[in-house]
Amino acid sequence: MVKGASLDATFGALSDPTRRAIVEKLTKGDASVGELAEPFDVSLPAISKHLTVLERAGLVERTKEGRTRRCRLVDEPMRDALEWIASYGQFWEGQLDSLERFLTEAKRGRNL
Amino acid sequence: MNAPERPWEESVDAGSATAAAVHVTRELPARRDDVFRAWTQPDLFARWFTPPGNSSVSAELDVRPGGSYRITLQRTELVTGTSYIVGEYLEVAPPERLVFTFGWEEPPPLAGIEALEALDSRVTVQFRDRGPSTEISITHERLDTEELRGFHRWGWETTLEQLAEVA
Repeated sequence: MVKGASLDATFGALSDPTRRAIVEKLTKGDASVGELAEPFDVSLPAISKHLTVLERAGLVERTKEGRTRRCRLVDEPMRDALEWIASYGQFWEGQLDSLERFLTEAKRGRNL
Repeated sequence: MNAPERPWEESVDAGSATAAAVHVTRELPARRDDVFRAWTQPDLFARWFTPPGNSSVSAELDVRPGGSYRITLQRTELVTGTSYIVGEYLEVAPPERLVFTFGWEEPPPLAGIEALEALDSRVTVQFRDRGPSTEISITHERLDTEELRGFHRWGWETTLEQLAEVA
């Protein structure tokens, strides 16, 4: 998958308040589907649907432990999203390097 | 040139509800009028606005509120070809402030950058008079998607801090 598409998936998956709350809860540690559903006024299947969206975006992994399924946060997509935002910092730092060189040379040649 | 090695790491601001943004600041060795002209006069602008991996640049800049701009870049690295940075001036206040939208057409084939094609990220350039020099600060915001923009009071930063503790 190209990174742009996976970033869209990350941002898309995080566009829902219930899913954001699930992600926030998982930052505190792994949890079962039942534990994740607890604070919400929604059914287990509804939570499961949200988990599927998060899973498809690569944000959450579900594993089976005996009879219960545990959910775990995968932090890589969010790191990618932040890295992508940060890459624009690099872009502008580079442009300012270039502008600084230009202004220094222009001053020397008095041609600005 | 004395900027810290990776200053953007501290200046990523994904915490606000409306915008994921980056900020950069620099003191430049020229008077404010000259620095402002380097941003607004097309022939001067094309002489320095060269992102790495591009051989030549030309610029059409209609610098007035509502005016549009188009920067043409010739790529020399990875896949050669032409890319365009395009947008519209939202605010023009010589010699203090420029605000414009920022987007790509035919973006360079770099990971992630295509995601910017579809959105109207926004750049604010502030020029501060420091006598013989000028302090310039650039904020590039709305570096996110429509969906993310709908966020209200969601603590990206808090969550990421927690993530850092987990990882």
